[in-house]
Amino acid sequence: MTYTSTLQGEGAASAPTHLNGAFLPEKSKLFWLALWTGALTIVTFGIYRFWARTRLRRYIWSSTKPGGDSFEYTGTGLEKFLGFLIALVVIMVYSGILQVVLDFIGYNLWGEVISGPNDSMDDALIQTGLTYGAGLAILPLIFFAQYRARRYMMSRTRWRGLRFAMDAAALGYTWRVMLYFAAWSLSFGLLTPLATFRLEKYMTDRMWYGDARFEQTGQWTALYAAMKHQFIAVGVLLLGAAIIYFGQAVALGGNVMIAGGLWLIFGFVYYQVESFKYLTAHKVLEGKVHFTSNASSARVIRIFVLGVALIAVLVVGLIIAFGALFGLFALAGGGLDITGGDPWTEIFAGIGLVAGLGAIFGSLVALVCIGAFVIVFISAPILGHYVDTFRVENAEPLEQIRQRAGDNMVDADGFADALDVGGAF
Amino acid sequence: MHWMSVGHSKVAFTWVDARYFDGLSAQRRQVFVSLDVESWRLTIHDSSGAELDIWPLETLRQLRDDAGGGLVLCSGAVDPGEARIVLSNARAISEIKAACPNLTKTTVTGRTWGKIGVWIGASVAAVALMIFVIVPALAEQLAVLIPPEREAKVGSAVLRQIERVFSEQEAGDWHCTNSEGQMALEQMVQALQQGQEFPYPIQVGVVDNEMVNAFALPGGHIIVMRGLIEIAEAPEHLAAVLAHELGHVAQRDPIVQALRAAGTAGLLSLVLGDATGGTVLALAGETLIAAKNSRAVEARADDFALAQLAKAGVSPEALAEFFELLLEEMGDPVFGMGWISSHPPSAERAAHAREAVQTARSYQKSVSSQEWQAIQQICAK
Ligand SMILES: [Zn+2]
Repeated sequence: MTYTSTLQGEGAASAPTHLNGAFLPEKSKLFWLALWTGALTIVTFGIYRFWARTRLRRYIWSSTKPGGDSFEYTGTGLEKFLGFLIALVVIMVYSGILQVVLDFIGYNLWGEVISGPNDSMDDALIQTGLTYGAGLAILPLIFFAQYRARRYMMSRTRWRGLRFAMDAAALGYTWRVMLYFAAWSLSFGLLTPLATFRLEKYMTDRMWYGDARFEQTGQWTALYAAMKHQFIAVGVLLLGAAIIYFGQAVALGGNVMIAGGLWLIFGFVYYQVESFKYLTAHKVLEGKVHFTSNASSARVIRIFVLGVALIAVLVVGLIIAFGALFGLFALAGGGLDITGGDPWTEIFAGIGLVAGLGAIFGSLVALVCIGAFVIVFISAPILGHYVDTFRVENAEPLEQIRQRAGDNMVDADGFADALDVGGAF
Repeated sequence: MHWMSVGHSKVAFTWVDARYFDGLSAQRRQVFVSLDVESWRLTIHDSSGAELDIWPLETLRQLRDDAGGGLVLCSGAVDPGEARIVLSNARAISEIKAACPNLTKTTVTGRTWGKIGVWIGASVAAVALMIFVIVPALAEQLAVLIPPEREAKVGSAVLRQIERVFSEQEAGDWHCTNSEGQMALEQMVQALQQGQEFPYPIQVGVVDNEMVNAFALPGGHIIVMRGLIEIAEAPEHLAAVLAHELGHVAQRDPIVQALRAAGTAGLLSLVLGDATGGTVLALAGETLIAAKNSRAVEARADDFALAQLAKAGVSPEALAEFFELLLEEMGDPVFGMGWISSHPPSAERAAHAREAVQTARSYQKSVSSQEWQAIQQICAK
């Protein structure tokens, strides 16, 4: 025990052996911050988004207070902007070439498949195939970006004045993800626990708080317990299919399958929450400090469903306001993203430019409002639930931990920004 | 805790308790801070009364967008220092806010600006290089590799999509099917193909729409809109436009353009981010780049048109006349988009067309007046 204070003050008289997480944002403040930074992002044609993201993080971090002391986010918008520029130059060359080549392959395939006069199914098929092709080619870059983004956020996070950090190991992470991703696909998802556990372990074992290292202990097979609802859901789906196929009772079988589908969704959330709880309970800091999470999947689902319902009600108003303009815009611009080529521009050029711009502006305003709603009613409450049910056990050894040197990442989380895989905050 | 007045309005405080993190260890300490306006300092004492640190007021920075309700301070003009003070006493907070001039100031060093400049330059150069050099070159080379029969199928697919859009827009037939008109039109196009080998059969059709527009799709499809036929004052004007679009088909411009646009759109959406203001800019940028790239392409199509008009025995002057016709009508906003937007008429283009006219030669009508009437009636039901 090294508390030097003997005076009045929170937690000074008797130091707790555990610290409770606490998430205490003011909803209205958070909403106006999201709305205001979103508006600035529109006005600056998207450039402000780095500062917007940074300000939101600062607010969210400072709302998170394990043991009464808030986290501090020390990243800056300028740093993010610079990181984005750096990542852009790298990704630009890669994806520009990729896009043209894939399109070329697409046109070749397109010609191959289409024979009848009206088989738009095949168009859709090729489009989907192309999207997946592009996805596969860009996948390693995405995983690389995700690791670097997490590392950047750790390096810009402080608690009680000490920095968090993560080792520079994005490449090792990338090829491991690709490997586990392949194993996951080939096993039809049965190896999900293996991928979840090993990747989390890879990252956790490289995480630091000050000069103290985190470690992920536990067994990957233990995560199968978290998958039980997914297994049940698959069973229900198969039962429904069997009823339709063998029993010829389409209505009954259909209802059973709908139930199975809903159960599967629940199963995914349950897995997320339960695996998080298991992994948290088996994380150790400096060999001494332990953690627990009492998050509840039912609670997460309730927050999500209530949030969606609330947002839906709020959005109806926005839709009425912008509906007319939006319809016009859909006609004027709907075709542009299909080929983007000359013929489309020529066809649609005749429809009122002013109305189109108005509709674009209206829909952007609506998007910003919806984005702010999502943060306030869904993302932040779910994060809050995780934080509130989080506990640091045996907190005394924390006092012995010392500061570490800063980690200068020039590219910040620019790759994640450029690829738009940043996550909720 | 003591409060005291300094001068008339300046108030300072002493021994206000606060939380202190020294930035060296994870310890939380209760400390006392004193604000001395005379000497411009914030002094931090530990619980035993020993002086821990002294922070000059001009170096004090507060953490912004803080949800804590209190005030978190650090000290450092450029880099925020490692140590933190967390104040929750409302009165002390307002005193500090009144006394410290730079609480919310951020200082960006010249070196940082330099780095930003370098990387902005590099990314602009990379974008420009990709959009104006690499993507167009790649598109052109890859387009050659697409077999004509496949391109034709791509064209039919695009045509189907256009059909979908038009049948949503206005119920009923979007395609004009008057058989006499269609025959006359095909005859006109046939005459303009003299001496040219096309990789696929040319298919021409009229769309029942008032816009003044015509365009070529991949695979040899040429679409003319009713508005363009209506504004033409003579069959030769229509023939000139058709010859121009045939030029695009001969050069395989539509497929090159589709490939290029896909690359450019992907790049621009990357630069400008997701569903924010970037979308508008991406659309505008794509249009601008398409317009800029197409100048040389258009000039080639014009030259092709002039040669083919002459071969068909039609005076190249028709193209010049049609451009002049468009120039006159330019002021009309309804009219101002369509073919004009992708084919800006200019005196030079008209003059260039007129140069191709051989004065010694006598030209004929492209189709008979009966056939021209049939074409004009092609959308009649
Ligand atoms: Zn043209």
